[in-house]
Amino acid sequence: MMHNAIEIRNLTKNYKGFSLGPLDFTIPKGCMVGYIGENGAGKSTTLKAILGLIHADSGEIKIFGKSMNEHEPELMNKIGVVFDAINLPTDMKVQEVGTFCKLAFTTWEENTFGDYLKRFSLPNDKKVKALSRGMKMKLSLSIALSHQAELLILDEATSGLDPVVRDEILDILLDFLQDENHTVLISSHILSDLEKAADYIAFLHHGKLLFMEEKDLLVERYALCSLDDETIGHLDPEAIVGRRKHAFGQDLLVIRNLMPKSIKLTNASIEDIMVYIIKGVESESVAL
Amino acid sequence: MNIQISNASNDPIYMQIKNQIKSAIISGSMAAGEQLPSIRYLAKELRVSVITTKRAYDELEAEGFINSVQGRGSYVSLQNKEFIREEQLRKVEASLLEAIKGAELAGLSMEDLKEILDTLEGVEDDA
Amino acid sequence: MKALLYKDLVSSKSTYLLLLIMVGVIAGIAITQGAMIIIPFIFAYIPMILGAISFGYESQSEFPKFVFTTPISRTTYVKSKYCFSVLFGMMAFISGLAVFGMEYGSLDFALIMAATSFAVPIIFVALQIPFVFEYGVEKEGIIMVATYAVLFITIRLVGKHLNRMMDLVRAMNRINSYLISAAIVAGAICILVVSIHMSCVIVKRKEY
Repeated sequence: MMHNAIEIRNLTKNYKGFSLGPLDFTIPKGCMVGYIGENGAGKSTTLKAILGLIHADSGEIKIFGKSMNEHEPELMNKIGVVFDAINLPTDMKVQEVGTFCKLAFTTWEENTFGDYLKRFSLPNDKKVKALSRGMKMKLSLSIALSHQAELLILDEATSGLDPVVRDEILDILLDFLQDENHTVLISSHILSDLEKAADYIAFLHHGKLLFMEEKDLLVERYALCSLDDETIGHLDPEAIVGRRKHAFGQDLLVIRNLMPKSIKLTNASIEDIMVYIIKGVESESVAL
Repeated sequence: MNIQISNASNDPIYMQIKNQIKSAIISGSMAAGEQLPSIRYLAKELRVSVITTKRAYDELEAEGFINSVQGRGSYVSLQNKEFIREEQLRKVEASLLEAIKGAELAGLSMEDLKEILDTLEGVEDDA
Repeated sequence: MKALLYKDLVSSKSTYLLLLIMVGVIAGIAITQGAMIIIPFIFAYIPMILGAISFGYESQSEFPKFVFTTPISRTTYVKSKYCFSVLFGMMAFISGLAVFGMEYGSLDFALIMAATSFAVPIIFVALQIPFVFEYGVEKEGIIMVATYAVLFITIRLVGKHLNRMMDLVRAMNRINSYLISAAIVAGAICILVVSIHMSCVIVKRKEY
C-alpha cells in the first residue's frame, strides 16, 4: 500500500541564472499540501518536473511509487492537472473539448464532466476563447476531476480569480479530499486560499526548500508582535525570525516558546510567516 | 452538534474543537454511542486541516471520550461517565494543589485556605 | 491518437473550409484547362498546409503542455502530425493512378507517376516536420517557402522535360513498373520512418 502520493529525492534543475534544488520532499496521500514561495522561486519548475514536462538534471521522482523516469503515460489518468492557463486550442467548443478528453483519457467519465459543466454553468457550445478567465479555470478543473484522478496538481490555478470563485474552488478541493486516497498539491502565492484548509505547507525560496511542515505546527510555533526598539533589545535574539522596521518601532515574527510571557502576541497567518521569514533570510538573521 | 472555531483565540484550533466536543459529551447533548462526523467531513465543513481534526479526535480518544473504529468512524464512548468523573477529579486535584502552592507562597495557612474555599462556595451558590 | 486527429479536424473549421474552396477552384481550373496532372500535386500540397495550421494553433495555446498531462505519449503526438500526409499520399496515389491512366492510357506509366505522387507529400512533410519541432512553428514560414520552392521547381522541371521523362519512364517500364513504383513507395516510407524517429528524439528531449 503506497502511503505517499509523490516522492522527490535530490531533484535539481539548472537554468541560466537560476537553479532549483537539490529538493527532497514527500507528499503523503490524503492531504492538501500548499506549495508557497515568491514568484520565480521555482514552484512551477518543480511541478513541471513532477509531471515530466521538463527533464530534471538529477534526482528521482516517484508518483504512487512508480518512477517517472520510466514514464508511463497511463499514469497520467490518475493525475489531474490545472495550470494557470487553459492550454487548449481557442477555437474548440466546450463540448469538443469533452470529446477530445474522452478519446485521450482511458478513465474518462462523461457524466461526471457533464455534471461539472452544469455546476459551473459552462455552456457546451461556447468556444474556449469566449470563456472568461474564471470559466476557463473551471473548465480546466472540470477536466481534471473527470478522469478518476487520485492526485490533483494545481499550479497557480487561482491567480487572477476573484475571491468568490476561489472559495468555490476550495470547496471542490475539500470535496475531492473526502476520499482519503486523494491528494492535492497546490502551488499558489495567494495564501489566503491555503490558510485554512492546507494540511502541510512547503516553502520554496530561491530554489531551496526552507521547510515542509504541518500548517498547524507553523501557526503554533510562530506569532507576531509589535514592539519598540528598547524592548526588542531585551529579547532572546534566537526568538526573532524576521522583522519590519518602521518609524515607530518594529513588527516582528517570533518563536512563541522563546518569548517572555508578558509580551502580547497575535496569531501569524501563513502569509505573515512567509513574508517575515523571507525578510529574515534576506537579512541573514535566520532563526527557523 | 455545534462547533464554532475562532482564529483569534489563543487556544489552538484542535483544542477548541476538542473542548467543544468534550462539553457536548459531558453535558449530555451528545449521547453515548452516538456517531461523530468523520474527521474529513469535519475538516471540510470547518475549513480546517484534516490533521487538526484528527488530532482533536486522537486526544478525545486518549482521554476516553470517544472510540474510533478503523473504517467505520468515531463514536461517543459508552463508559464515558466514569472517565468524565475521573477526569474531573484529576482536574480538581490539580487545581487544589496549585491553590495550596499559591497559598504557601502568599504565606497563607491551611485555615485561611479553607475559609477562602467556603467564601467562594457561597459566591458559587449565589451565582 | 484519435484524440489528436479529432482535435485537428475540429479546431479550425473555417480554415479548412477556405482550403477546400481553394482546392476546388484550382481543381476546377485544372480540369477545364485540361491540365489534370496538377491534381495529384494538389494532394501533395495540402498536408503541408494542414500541418502548418495544426502547429500554428498549438503553439498559440501551448497545447502540447496539456497533451502531455494526458495519457497521450510523446511518440503518439509526433506520429499524429504525420497522419494527414500519409492519408493524402494515398489519395494522391489513387488519383494519380486514375489521372495518369486516363491521360496516357498506360498502366505502367500511371503506376510510376502514382507512386511519385504518393512519395511527394510524404517526403516533403517528412523533411519539414523535424525542423518545425526543433525550431518552432514561427520558422515554419521559411521552411514552407523552401519546400514550395522546391516543389514548384520540380513541377516546372517535370513539365519542361515531360516527354523526356515519359521516355525514361517507358524505358524503365521495360524493367518492371511494379518494381519501380514499389521502390519509390518504399523509399518514401523509409524517409517517413526516419523522419518520425528524428521527430520523436527531438520532442522527447524538448521541455514544455
